[in-house]
Amino acid sequence: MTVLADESGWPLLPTERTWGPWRLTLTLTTTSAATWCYLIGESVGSYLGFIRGGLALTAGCMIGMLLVLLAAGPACARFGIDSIAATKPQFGSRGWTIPAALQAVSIIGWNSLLLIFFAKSAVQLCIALGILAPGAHGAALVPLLTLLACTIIFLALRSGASSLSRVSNILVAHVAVGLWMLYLLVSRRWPELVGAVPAAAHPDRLWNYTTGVELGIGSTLSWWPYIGAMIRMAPNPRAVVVPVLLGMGAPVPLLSLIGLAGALVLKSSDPAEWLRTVGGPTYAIISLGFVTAANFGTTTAGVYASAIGLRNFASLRERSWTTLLIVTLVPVALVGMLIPELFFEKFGSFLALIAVAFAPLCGIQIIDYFCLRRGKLDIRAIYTQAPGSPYEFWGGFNPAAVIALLAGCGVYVALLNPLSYASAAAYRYLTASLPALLAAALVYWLLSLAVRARGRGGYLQA
Amino acid sequence: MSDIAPELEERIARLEGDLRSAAGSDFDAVSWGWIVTLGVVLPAVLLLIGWWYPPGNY
Repeated sequence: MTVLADESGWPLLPTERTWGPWRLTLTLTTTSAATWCYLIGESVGSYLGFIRGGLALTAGCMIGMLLVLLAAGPACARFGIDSIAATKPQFGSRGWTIPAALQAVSIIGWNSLLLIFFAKSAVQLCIALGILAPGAHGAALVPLLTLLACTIIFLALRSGASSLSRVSNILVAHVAVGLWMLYLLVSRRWPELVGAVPAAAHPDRLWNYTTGVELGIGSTLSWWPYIGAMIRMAPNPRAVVVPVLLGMGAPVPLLSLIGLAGALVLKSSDPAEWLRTVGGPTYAIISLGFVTAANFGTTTAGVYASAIGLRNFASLRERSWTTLLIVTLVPVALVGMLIPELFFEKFGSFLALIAVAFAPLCGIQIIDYFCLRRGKLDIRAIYTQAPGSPYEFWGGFNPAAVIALLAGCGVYVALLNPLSYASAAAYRYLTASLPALLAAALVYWLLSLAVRARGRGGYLQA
Repeated sequence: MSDIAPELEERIARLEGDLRSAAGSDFDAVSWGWIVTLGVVLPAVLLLIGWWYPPGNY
């Protein structure tokens, strides 16, 4: 029954939720530590120096992780459900497809990036080891290596959550390697590091600082799609707080310091490139090995979370776990095989647009769980689409959630254009994510009073 | 007629029994202490230090 449950979207029984704090922390840490940290650090390094940038980024990451924990944590960890199932009380028995679409697009995007990174790093590693000739053309190899990575992940996840935990136990060592790389750069180039001027710093010091915080918040808000599938393996909400905040929130800024430092001093966030400068080819090989391992662990977790989320679709509920994995991996493989360079170039824009939605989504969940429902969810209603069920709302959709989500997205974009980073005056004081979250929460709360007055949404039964 | 599969129905029934007996099993006081410390106090302290302490504009 354990194997079936953790490969399904069904709520887990207490006897099936066997991950203690250390096991959960290991898995979350392995998931969060990936080469996207370099990109995050590089982005912050465009606006802020090493110390101030590191502090702003860390603060932002912890705030973002707090919001994700409050949004998905109580429902997922208390009822043993994944992030998508946890949105049914807010979005409705059919409206949950909206967060599901956001989850799918987000995870496909992240997974594609990570596997393209993996493939590119594997090519460089083979060149550094002498397996491939210097200057070997990656255009042919990257698609093949992406396909190979998808195959390995497929085989690794055949056993469900237990295999995710086993992968994490092995790959968590790469986090130590990442910290070692950071130590190397900081210890050998400290004077340059603290004196470096960010390449694209705004004349407004506060704007730069707020942007560092915003980048941190946005980075950890991206964990919302991943988190439910993992924390539901823990026995209760109390057991997930520290693992989530420290296991998932802290590694991101720590490892992002690698990209931040590299971008400031060596004008490159890619440690494989600057480690060759700092420590020679041996260090570069170690770094490439780290990158390869880091992305593997994170992609494995993302594929698992995606597959669990797909179980909420009626057409996929009874399909085999193998089918779910294939459905999840095929889009990632296609991107990596057909358009890797194009995707790499446009990825920043793609993700910026995705991130706009997760702050409002968290706001809706937080206000719904803590204020409107006061922690009372109908576990049966989450799994039925029968007419008259508490979460049917109107035709399976809760207009309050949809309107609130749109309102939050609108507030975000009004404050900060995620593509151009043009901003409104208020942004420098408020960020964009926090007002978007508050706006969505407020709109949702107000409209839900009307929803509740009409007897919809299961509020009266709570 | 329920659209829930029998195995899922059985699972939900067991969970509902567990949840009734474990009312109020959300975050406890210790959990909220960690949440406030790591999610509110720590970021606030870091932001203050980051704004005032490092010399220079960047």
